[in-house]
Amino acid sequence: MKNIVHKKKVILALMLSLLAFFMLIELIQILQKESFPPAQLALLVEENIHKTGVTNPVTAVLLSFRAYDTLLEMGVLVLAFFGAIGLSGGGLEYNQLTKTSQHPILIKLASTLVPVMILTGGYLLWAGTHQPGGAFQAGAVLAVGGVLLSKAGLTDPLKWYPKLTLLFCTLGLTGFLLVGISFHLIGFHFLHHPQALSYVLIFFIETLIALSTASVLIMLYAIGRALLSPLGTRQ
Amino acid sequence: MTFISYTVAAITLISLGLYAIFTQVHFLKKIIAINIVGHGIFLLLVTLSKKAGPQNPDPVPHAMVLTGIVVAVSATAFALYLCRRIYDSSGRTSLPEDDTEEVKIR
Repeated sequence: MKNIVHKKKVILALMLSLLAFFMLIELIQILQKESFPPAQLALLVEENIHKTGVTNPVTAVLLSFRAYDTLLEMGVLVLAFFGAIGLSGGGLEYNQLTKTSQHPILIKLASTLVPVMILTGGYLLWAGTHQPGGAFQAGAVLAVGGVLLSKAGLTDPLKWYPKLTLLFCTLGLTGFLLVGISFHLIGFHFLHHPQALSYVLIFFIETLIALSTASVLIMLYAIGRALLSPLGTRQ
Repeated sequence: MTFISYTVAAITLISLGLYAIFTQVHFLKKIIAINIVGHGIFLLLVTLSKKAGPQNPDPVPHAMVLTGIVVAVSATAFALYLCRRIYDSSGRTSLPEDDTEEVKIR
C-alpha cells in the first residue's frame, strides 16, 4: 500500500515538472517577442491617465480604470472580517478579565515605532497619487502598528468591538459605494465621476480604503488572539 | 536574462506549491502551499509587466498583484479561522479522505 501512495506522488511530481517545463518554454517565447500584447494596455493607460487626476499609473488603474475590481476587493475584506466573527462562535465582547500582560520591551518598541508607522502610513497614502505608494500599502503599515500595540498589551482592539470596528471595517466598501451611487443618481455611469473632482474623490476613497484595510487586518488578528487566549470568555 | 531567471523562479514556486497542495495532508501545510503558488503567480505577473517597457512597466498587472496580495492575506486569515474551527469542533487537522490513506499506509 505504501508503494502505491509513493508511486502516485512520483507520477504527480513528473506531471508537474512537465507542466512547468512547457510553461517555461511558452513564457520564454513570449518574452522574446518584440510586440507583447499587454504593452497595448500600458499604452492605453498612458494615453488616458490625464483624465484621472492622478499621475501614478497603478493608482489610476486601481481607482479609476478598474475601480470595480477595487470595490469588490473591499467586499472580500469585509467578507473575511464577518467570516472570522462567524467562525469565532461569539463571546468576543471586551472583558476586563481578558486583559493581557504588558511586555516592557514591546511597550518601548511600540511607543517608538507606532508614531513613525502612522506618519509613514499617511505619507504612503498621499504619495500614492503621484509615485509608488497607495491605500493598501498605507493600510498594511497602519495594521502592523495596531498589531504591535495590542501585542505589547497597550490596547485591545476588541475594546471597540461591535460598533466602532464594524463602522471602520465597512468604511471602505460603503464609502466607495456611496460615491459611486450618488454620482450615478445625478447622471453619470456607475462608479464614474466628473473629471474636475477626480483627484479629490480618488484621494477621499483611498483614505477610506486605507482605514478599512488597516482595521480589517487588525481585527482579523485580534479575533484570532481572543480565540486562543486561555483567559478569554470562551474556553 | 533577468526575465528568464525571474520566470524560472516563479514557475519553480508554482510547481513546488502545487505539489505540496496535492501531497501534504495537514491543513496548515496546504494553506502555506496555496500561498506559495499565489506568490509564484504574483512574481510571474510582475515579471511580465516589466517586459511591457523597461522605463514604464505595465501598471495593469501591478494593480492586479496589489489586489491579489490583499485578497490572499484576507483569504489566508479566513482559511486559518476555518482550520481552527474544525480543530475545535472535531480535533482534526486533516480531511477524512486523507486520513484513510494514512491508515492504509500503516
